[in-house]
Amino acid sequence: MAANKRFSSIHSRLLVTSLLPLTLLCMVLASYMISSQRTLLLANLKNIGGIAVQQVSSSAEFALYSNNQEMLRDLGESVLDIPSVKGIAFYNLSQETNVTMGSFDLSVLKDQDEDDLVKPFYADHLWYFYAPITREGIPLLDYDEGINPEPEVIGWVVVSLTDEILMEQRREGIFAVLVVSTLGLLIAAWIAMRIGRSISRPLENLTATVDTMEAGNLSIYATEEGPIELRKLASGINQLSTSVRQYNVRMQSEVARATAQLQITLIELEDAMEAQDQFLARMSHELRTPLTAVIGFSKLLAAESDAEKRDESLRIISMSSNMLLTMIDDILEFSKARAGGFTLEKVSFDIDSWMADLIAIHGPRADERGLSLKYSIDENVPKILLGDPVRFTQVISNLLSNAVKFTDHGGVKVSIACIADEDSGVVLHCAVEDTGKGIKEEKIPVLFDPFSQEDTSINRRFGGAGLGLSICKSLVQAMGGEIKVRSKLGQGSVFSFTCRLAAAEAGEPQVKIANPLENRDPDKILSGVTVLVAEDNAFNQKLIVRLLNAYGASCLTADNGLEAIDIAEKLHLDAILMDIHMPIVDGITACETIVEQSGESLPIIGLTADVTLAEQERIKKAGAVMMLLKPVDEDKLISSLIKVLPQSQGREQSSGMGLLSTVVPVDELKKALYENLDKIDIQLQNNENASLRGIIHDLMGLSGLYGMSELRELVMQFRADYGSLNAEVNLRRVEDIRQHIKAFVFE
Amino acid sequence: MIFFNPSQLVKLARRSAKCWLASLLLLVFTCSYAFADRKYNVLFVASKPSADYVEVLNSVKQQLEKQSPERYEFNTVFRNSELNLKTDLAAADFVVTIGTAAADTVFSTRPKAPILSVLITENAFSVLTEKHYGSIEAAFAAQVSSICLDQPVTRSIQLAKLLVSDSSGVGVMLGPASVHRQPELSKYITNSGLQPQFVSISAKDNPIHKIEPVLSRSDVFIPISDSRLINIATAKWILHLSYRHKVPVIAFSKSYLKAGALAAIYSSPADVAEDTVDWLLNSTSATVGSSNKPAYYSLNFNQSVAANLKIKLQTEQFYRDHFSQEAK
Repeated sequence: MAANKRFSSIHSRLLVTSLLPLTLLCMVLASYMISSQRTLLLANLKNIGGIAVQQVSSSAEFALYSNNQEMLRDLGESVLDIPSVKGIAFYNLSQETNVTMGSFDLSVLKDQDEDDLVKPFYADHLWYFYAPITREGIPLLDYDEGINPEPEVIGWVVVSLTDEILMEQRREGIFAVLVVSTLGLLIAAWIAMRIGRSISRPLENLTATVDTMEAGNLSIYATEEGPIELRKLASGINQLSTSVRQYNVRMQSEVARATAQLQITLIELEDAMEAQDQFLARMSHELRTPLTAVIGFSKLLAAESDAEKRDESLRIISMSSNMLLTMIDDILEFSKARAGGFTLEKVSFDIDSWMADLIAIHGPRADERGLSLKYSIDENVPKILLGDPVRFTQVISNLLSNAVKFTDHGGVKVSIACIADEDSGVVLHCAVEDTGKGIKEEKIPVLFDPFSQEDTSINRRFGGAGLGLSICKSLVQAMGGEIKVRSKLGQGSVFSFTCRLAAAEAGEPQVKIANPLENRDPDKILSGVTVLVAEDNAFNQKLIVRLLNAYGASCLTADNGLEAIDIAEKLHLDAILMDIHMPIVDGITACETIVEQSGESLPIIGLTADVTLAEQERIKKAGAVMMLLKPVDEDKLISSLIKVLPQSQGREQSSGMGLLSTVVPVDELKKALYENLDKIDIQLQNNENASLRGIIHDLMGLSGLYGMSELRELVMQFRADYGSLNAEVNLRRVEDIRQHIKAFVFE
Repeated sequence: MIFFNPSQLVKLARRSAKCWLASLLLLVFTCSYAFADRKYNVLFVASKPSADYVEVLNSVKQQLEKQSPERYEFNTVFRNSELNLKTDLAAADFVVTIGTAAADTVFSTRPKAPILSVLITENAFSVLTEKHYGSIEAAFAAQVSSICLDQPVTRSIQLAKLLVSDSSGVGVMLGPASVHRQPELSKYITNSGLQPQFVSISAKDNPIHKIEPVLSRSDVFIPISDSRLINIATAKWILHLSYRHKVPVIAFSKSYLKAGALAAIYSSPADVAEDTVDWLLNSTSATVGSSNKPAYYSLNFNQSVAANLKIKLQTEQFYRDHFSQEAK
């Protein structure tokens, strides 16, 4: 710990960082220098010895050959003058030493083999160098053609060199290297300490400054000293400190402003929450009111036997249901508007014709209230326009509906004029003027807000969700215009809006208000069409089947997505009505699977009670060509089916056997049904119920698969009952089923 | 049957003798005429194509062509390219061997044409003739001659006398091949007013031990050319001892001179060529073999050695003139 602390400071680390490698470097260099010096000195010694012995050997040829010891001594003396040379010996081939001078251990020489004498050898602090003394004749003949004789070895010379001088030189060398290294190291340490201190001191000062700032004192300034990087760091810290101070001041004001804004937002949120609560309360009331009527009159209808009263009850139920549907449609539209989900079409339409239809639709209501209902289209308005006639008339219809609703006497007038005609299109100004009770001035600014009505009493009196004007505003904005209101209390109101449409070219096909049921015989309109109704709710399934049967369509049913996939794969279908929320396999997955199996040729209409756009998008992505909201509107259902069916469909007459005759041979189906019934008979007779349930299930599957709903009902009933009945009754029930097949299915 | 009387027989004999004589004269005339116009084919066989050898043969050719144009035709063969040597030897009128190896090669074939060996020592010639002809006399009989490299020792003794004062000691080294000349040389040296000091060296002797006592007592030293082995073994030590004892050496080769002798009398390639030309001009197909001393010689001095020994030298011509007078 103490060591860690000691080396945790930057000063210590700098010292270690600089000195450690330097010390290592010094050690390596010193080792290298000592080693190389030793090698050099040894090489030098060997060189001296080698040269000396070679020179002596060449000089000693005459003296040795003539056995002139005096001359050999003279030679030896000259060699002994060399400082390192300690001894010299001459001896002839018979190893008889002629002359030995200086310190020389002859016993060492005797131990050496002559073959090893080529290299110098070391013994007892002496280096011995050998060289042969050769006798070599010189041919001093002119025109000599002979070969010169090989040199003849006549003896040896040995020179001994002491390594004392070498050792002394080595000691001196080591000492010099150590002194220089130590000196260098000390100087480096001193420089490192100086540099380290010049870095660490400003850093310590900076650290102290930062500590002070951390403690909250931002008025302190760091001293800019030391290396340029540290000066920059100090400058940065000072700038940061200044920025933090300024930021603190700004933050304080921001917090104050945000707090005020939050308080305002809170108040607005509370208002919005209150408005939403009121809306929910209103929705609850509005939904409950028609629902109460539907439930109550439904009960009365069941008990009532008088035809007139039953009709009256049915009318009220129908009206209440429509009210509920309108409210839900409004919510849906509002949801679309909020999500920016309006998609405007661009088709040519005759504005006069559309307005006439619109007045015709609202006319009866106005008549009921004793109001006049007029419309005028200025001459400068092009007769044929290019835009979305549905959305355009939807806005006018909404305003018109409100005007009729809130006007007790007088009348309502719709006027349309063109206020701008440009290359890009025309700008229409539409106004709906009424002589109603007018709107309070202070309520006008919030009139187009969602869930807003002038007062709650309006809601109670006239109904509605308070979303109509908000939807109108969104639609007008989507058409590039704006909506305004001008009103005087007790005198009436004028709702006006502008919108940008284009003038259509002459000859373009026009779109009229489509009514698919128009001019059609309801009994024949879907003749020859096979529709699969995939719906887990038995009542809804039954309702839709009966509805479609009434228009001549043949229906197959599926209780879940898996069955729907199975049927769609095996049988020919013209369209599928697919509920989205079903057990086992949901409608989305079933849609995807069927589309994948059959391609896009088989139209699928999704059915859902979920009004959210996200849900609708999900269904369309899964492959549904259209989506209908529950409760299903009869007209919408039929018109949608006609719309999605190919043109050739729906005009063929049913062939009697319809589905069965087109899908599978009747005989085969009959045989399969009867075989299953026979199996059931046998099981019952033998009182073996083990596989009875499986056979009944197969029978159910067959009847369901081929759309024999009544037969399926009978089989289902039998499956529910057979366990509690005795064999005889059960056999009779099976016989009833067999008779039903004979009577209704194949005849 | 026809019968002749004695007078008729005498006449017939006289007439026949006249016819024979005329025929003989015609034959002699024809032969002499034929020989007079015939070119001599001289074949040169050299040991190697080195500068000295080529100089000798070129010099010989040039001089012969100059002195006797149209008389000789030449053919040259080097020992290393002796493919057609036998054919060339058979076609040759004279064979000149240049070098010891060439002589060895030619002697081994024993051609019929007269042979002259040059650039060869007396000792080598003697050894080779004994080897191929059995004896030097047999070689002479086979028309084998030589002009040896060995200059007459008398020239060296005369030179020694000119270099040192009277009654000085002259050291002479003899080898196995030259030891027989000791009495002759001793007499000549003594007659020259000098004191002879002889040392005889054999192959087994330590030359230093033998030479040094003689050389140290001499005022001038003359090694006599001997066998190659003796020459090589002694030359180095003679020069060494000469240096140590400051005794001038009169050598027998230019190489000796360059190595440290004071003076040398030797045969240069030009000298050899001169001797060869003389021999060829004076030789016929009937020339008997002989061993000849060279008539021409070269005399040179090592000025550096002379300076060290403090010997004042005369001009070369001075010595040559002196030699000529002595010869007369």
